[in-house]
Amino acid sequence: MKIIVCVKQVSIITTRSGIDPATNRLLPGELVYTLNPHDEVAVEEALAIREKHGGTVTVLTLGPARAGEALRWCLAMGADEAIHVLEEAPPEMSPFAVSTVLAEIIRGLEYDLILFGKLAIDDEMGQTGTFVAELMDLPVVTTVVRVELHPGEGRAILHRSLRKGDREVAECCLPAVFTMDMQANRPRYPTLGGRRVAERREIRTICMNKEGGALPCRGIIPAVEIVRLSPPRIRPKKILSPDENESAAGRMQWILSGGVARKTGGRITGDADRLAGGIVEFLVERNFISRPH
Amino acid sequence: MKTIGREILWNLPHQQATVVLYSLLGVLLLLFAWRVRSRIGFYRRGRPEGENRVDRLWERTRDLLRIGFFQKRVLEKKPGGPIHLAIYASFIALFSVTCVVAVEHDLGVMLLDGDFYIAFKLFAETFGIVLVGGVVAALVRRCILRPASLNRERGDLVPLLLLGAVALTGFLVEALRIAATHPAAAPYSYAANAVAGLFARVSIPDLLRLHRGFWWGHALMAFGFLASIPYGRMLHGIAGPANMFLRSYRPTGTLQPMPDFDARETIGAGAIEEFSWKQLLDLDACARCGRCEEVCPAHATGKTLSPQKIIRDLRVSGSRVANRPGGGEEEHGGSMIEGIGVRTADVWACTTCGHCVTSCPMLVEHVEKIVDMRRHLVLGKSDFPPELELMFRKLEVFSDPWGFGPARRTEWATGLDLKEIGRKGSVDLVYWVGCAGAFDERNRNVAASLARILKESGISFGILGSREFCCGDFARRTGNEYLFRLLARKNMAVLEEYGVKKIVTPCPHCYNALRNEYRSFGGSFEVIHHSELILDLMESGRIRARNALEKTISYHDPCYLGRYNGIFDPPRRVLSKIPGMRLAEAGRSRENGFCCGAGGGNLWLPEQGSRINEERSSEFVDLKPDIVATACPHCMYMLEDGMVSARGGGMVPECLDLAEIVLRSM
Repeated sequence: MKIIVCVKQVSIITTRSGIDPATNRLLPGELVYTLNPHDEVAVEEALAIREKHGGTVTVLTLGPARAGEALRWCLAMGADEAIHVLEEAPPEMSPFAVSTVLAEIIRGLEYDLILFGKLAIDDEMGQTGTFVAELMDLPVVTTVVRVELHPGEGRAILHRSLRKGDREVAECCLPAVFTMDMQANRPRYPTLGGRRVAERREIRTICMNKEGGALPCRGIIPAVEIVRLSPPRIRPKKILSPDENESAAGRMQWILSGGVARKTGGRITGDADRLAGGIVEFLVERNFISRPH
Repeated sequence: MKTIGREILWNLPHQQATVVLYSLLGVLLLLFAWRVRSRIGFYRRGRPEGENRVDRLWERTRDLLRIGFFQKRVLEKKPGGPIHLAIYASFIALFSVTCVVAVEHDLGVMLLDGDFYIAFKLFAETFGIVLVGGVVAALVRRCILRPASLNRERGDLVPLLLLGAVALTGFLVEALRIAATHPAAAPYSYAANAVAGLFARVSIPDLLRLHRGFWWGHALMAFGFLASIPYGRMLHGIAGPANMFLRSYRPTGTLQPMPDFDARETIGAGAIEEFSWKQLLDLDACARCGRCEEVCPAHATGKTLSPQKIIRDLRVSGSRVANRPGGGEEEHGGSMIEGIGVRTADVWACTTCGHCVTSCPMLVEHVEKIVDMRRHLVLGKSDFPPELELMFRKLEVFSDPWGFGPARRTEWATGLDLKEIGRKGSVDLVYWVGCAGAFDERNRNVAASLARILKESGISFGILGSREFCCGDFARRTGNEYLFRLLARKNMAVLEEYGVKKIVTPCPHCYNALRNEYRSFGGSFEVIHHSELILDLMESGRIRARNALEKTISYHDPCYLGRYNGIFDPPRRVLSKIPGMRLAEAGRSRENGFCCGAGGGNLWLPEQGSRINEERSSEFVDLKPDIVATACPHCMYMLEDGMVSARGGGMVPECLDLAEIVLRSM
């Protein structure tokens, strides 16, 4: 089983001050960096699959020089190979742009399975995995909590966690893309031996060239522009309590209803296609978006 | 002809007796040598040591005499100390007596005559009685009083009973000789003389026969005892002095440097051979006295950890040819470290307070073995409590164990207008705050109090701010040597960049790490604890404690400050300089201080049994001072929390740091 795991080094905000007015980004001094926890779970899943079915685990990241540390952590966990696509200012790249680059790289590798974390904890977009699958014309199953591979038959059984303890069980043919949910496993802590391996192993570095060179980067110009970034306003927490003027029956009803007002407006039901169509219609009618072609 | 002396080997066939005795001696020496050689072979299976154990030979000899020959540590506890002294001193005395006899008999030097003989007789007689007394007392203690921590194994009574029998038969032989020959010197053998009266009616031929019989019995048992020394418990008689000679001269608690760490692929001890040769020698030096267990705070609060048991488990697994069965789960429950038979729960329960190490009369070093086992579990097998994993991950990402991050390191100092060091040489003194002072709600006040005191004193000082990272002590003590070095290197880079020469810190863990353990990374700065600095400032008049605080204060000795670094007096002297202060000493204080329970990573770990911090806090609640003074941020919250749930109810003392107390008085 040749498994590719795409990982991201995410930033964690430690204080809520210091926004660079020129770039509308948080000042780097306030941030600390770490391997995205969901991606770490994906790496652990890949390692578990390798232990069971054999094969290799390759980790891939797109990011600045410091993202190499995230790759080293994956190597210390036990990954076989690491590829670093060097890009100095990834926040300016949209998920679609990142996915384009990743897909291009992965096309040049051998793979049976591609894993992602379900989302990155800094921007929480959660799109990259799905975009890569779409670009590579592969099936994708998101927020997977359990993977059961049948490599001989070229398929896998996936579990997804739904609300209220329900599980959805899906079958998917390989190769495929899965995005992993943190519930799937508990990543191992690297041993000293793993750290030494990580220190010594060479990471394959690919440099991005924006001037139009090495990789086709459609969409590299940001499709989304951040206009303003500000710390959250402190909102006083509203604690709802039943109105004393109401009758006892009224108050009971209020409590039983959960204390929230009923939602007004239309509801759309149906499968994913119908829901998507309904939402697009809603947005078009209210002039939020123009009708897509 | 002797005036008052005695014929050696009287009533015995001289030739045969001499031959037999020396043959026995020869056999004894062979057995001894063979056994010692086999033990040395065992020690050599261990890995090399990280420090030089044969430097400073004069100091080592002096300490061997002090601690070994003069039994300094042994005598710290009663009644075991004096009992051992009685037996040990008598053994040496009577052994020398026999040697003197041999010198006269074999070398022909006429010694046992005249006044010397009289003194000799009194000497031997008295020590014979002391020996019997000691053996009886030991038997009473072992078999009747049965102190809980005294390790009792099969074969323990053999050396004791042998010694007792040797002493008694010695008197008997003498008594028989006196009864048969009525020598002039008889009254000097006062005890035997008294017993001789019992044989008044026995015929001379019978006396001679009895004498001969008991004499051989005495000789054989004496040789038997000597032959038993390299086996079992008595091995401490040889391995102990060797262990004392090879002791560590590092400050107590400082872990061994590992200069080759960066090249190592494995670390820690998961099998007997992975301990060092000195650690293996420790196992033989252990006298199974149980003092380590008596003073262990974990053991005192119901945990299964016993330093004595760990040494025993290691010794047992070392002596098995094959590994003991049952790596993994054992019948008693709880997982084990395969191959050495130590329960992992015990390995994690240790608070590294060091009391076992400082109590051990044989200078066994328990704590480092436990840390070595932790290193194996963390960095070798990646099998350790999840609470620690959380702490490790936060340390690596945020450089502090709670996940606040470097940017928040100066929140505690808001409004204090402190200087943040920006370049080399800008201040004389670096105020190293520590993670607890910077981030813990309660300890932020302590950090601020110390800052105010420093400002008042006018000395030039500064803080590192966001460039101060966790000292890494907890990472190191929980076995994550890799993470410790990661942090140490980050800190050293900053300290070197700013050319730091002098550091003051309110946290004993940071103090210990910076002062003693950062040396191996090139740290050559002077590190002082805030109690020492405050004392200095008070004595030089730069700060004055003016306001009287009419309070009774009891001071709690932090383990890493007191037992580890010998700083007991400065905090007390600081307190005594505050007008109106009355000092009350807790029962377990100074070198015998009881741990607060936070050390060794136990701040993060779940606890079995009753709580160490509550046990310690109860002691203070019972003492009823107005204030309990601490000099460590971890002791601060452990004691405060412990007060809440300590027995006693009613008013509990206020917990304050030295800096807070001094500030109140300024």
